[in-house]
Amino acid sequence: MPAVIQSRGLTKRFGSKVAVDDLDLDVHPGRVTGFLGPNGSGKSTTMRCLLQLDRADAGTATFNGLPFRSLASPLREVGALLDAGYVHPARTARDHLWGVAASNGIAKARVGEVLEMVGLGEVASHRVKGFSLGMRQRLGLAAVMLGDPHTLILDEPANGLDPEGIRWIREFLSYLARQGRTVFVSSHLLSEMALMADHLVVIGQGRLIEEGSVADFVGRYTKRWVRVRSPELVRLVQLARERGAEIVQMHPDAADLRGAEPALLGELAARNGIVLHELSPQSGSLEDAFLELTRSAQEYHATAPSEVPTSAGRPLPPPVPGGGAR
Amino acid sequence: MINAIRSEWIKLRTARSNIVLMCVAIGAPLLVSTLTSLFNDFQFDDGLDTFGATVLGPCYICVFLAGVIGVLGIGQEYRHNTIRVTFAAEPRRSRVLTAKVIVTTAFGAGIALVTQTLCYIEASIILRARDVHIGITDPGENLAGFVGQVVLSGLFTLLGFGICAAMRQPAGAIPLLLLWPLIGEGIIGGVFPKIGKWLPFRNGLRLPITGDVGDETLARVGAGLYFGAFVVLVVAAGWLLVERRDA
Repeated sequence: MPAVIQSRGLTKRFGSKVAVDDLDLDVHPGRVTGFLGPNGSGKSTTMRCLLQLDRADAGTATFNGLPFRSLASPLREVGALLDAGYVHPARTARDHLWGVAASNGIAKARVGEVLEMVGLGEVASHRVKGFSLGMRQRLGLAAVMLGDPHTLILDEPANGLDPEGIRWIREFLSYLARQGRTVFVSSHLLSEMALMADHLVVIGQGRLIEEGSVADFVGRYTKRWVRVRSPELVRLVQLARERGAEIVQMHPDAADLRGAEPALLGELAARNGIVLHELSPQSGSLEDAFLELTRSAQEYHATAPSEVPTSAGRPLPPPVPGGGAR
Repeated sequence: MINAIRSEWIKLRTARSNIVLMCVAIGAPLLVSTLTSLFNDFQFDDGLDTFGATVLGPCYICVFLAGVIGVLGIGQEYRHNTIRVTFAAEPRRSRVLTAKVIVTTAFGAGIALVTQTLCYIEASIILRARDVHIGITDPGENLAGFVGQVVLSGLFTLLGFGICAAMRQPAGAIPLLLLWPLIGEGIIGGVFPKIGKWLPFRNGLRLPITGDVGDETLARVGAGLYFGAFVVLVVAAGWLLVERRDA
């Protein structure tokens, strides 16, 4: 299927700083496309350029081949949530949405529907200034759904949501994607992105770094190993090493081995009468892959805790595994 | 375009600050007019000053409050960043700006029209009981002042809108809008008396004034057109900046 959201050579500068650098982007329908990048990598600026809120210095951005400003009824085609805080605090939730809906000729009745959809029906007549961040996120999502659009652009939609809310939005976006809609979502919550997105676009310093499925991405940028657990661990590890396996790490009752497939290790154990308590393939997380990929594209680097001097001039101690208050 | 106007009207009337300003703009002149009608001794020669004291004078505040409404018409959008929501829903910015101009200007002028009408009705009732004459067309200049104040309120609304569109800061636009005509032009006119006649606000504020103002400003129609042209320039500058800048 052709890309619904497309950018070619998209470039945005703020003075001498290049926020988005010659970015080619293709976002396809029927799946959730995650948009990842370190802080300051240009994710939000890209989204604003797509929506022509920011004027791109070069390049094009289109939705189904048309610039955003050429869409006849934008809310019915593209729903955007850029920041949950973009709301007049003294307006009620209903009035906020009503004003937005009216701009595209959407009936007032739809406002009630979307408020119910996001779970804010009971507070529709409350002023937004009393809303939590999570409630404002839901209000922003309600605004996105006003026109029942085929394309959704969401910047950090899970920000401020409680676990129930995060699960809800994950399922909600997956449901929308399964309906054939185009869902383009940025998030810093990599664990959530791993569960939510089908496809990833990763940028760093405004440039496209990587694009592909989540599985491919994790597979390409993280290490894989096999964890074995057995009462005869030492003998099993020795046999595995004789067949080319390497020890990644030894635990008290388990070992992480690289260079041997789980099937081979299973057959080896069976042939030698070794009881296995665990035989599981392991790989790094999306977070590991992301950090590996964007290491050179990080604009801001924090100092490791052990290097941070305290007021007494001594560095902070490294965290104690499993350690709590002492 | 109708949708954009409807949207702006909803935004305007659902913001509490606009409603408060409207209530003050109507209530304060009505109170002053009532007290004046009840207690002034009206030792004037004709109906010109009676009308000025009970209708045009008390409603002068509407002009400045209408200007503040114009500022808030776009300023609140920038203050709360809702301008991004607005332009994401209707990316054709000129359409949004046109709708804002129509709605806020009509609202600002409408407040002056309603307030002056209420003040005139209230003053007529009270003054009739006191056997004091007042007439909106007697003399004819009263009507010119009445219409002039409505036009001036509309122009001030538009000016507030234009200033804030350029500045994007209501906190800066409101003092500029209120202090410049009252203080800034007063100083310039005092230091350079020869150019006083050409100061835009001085000409604009001439619109509701009845009676002779000498050669301090242009004649009423000329003064209105001159101030109107100034307002159009400011709005055009603000408009251009909104179109060109990042939202």
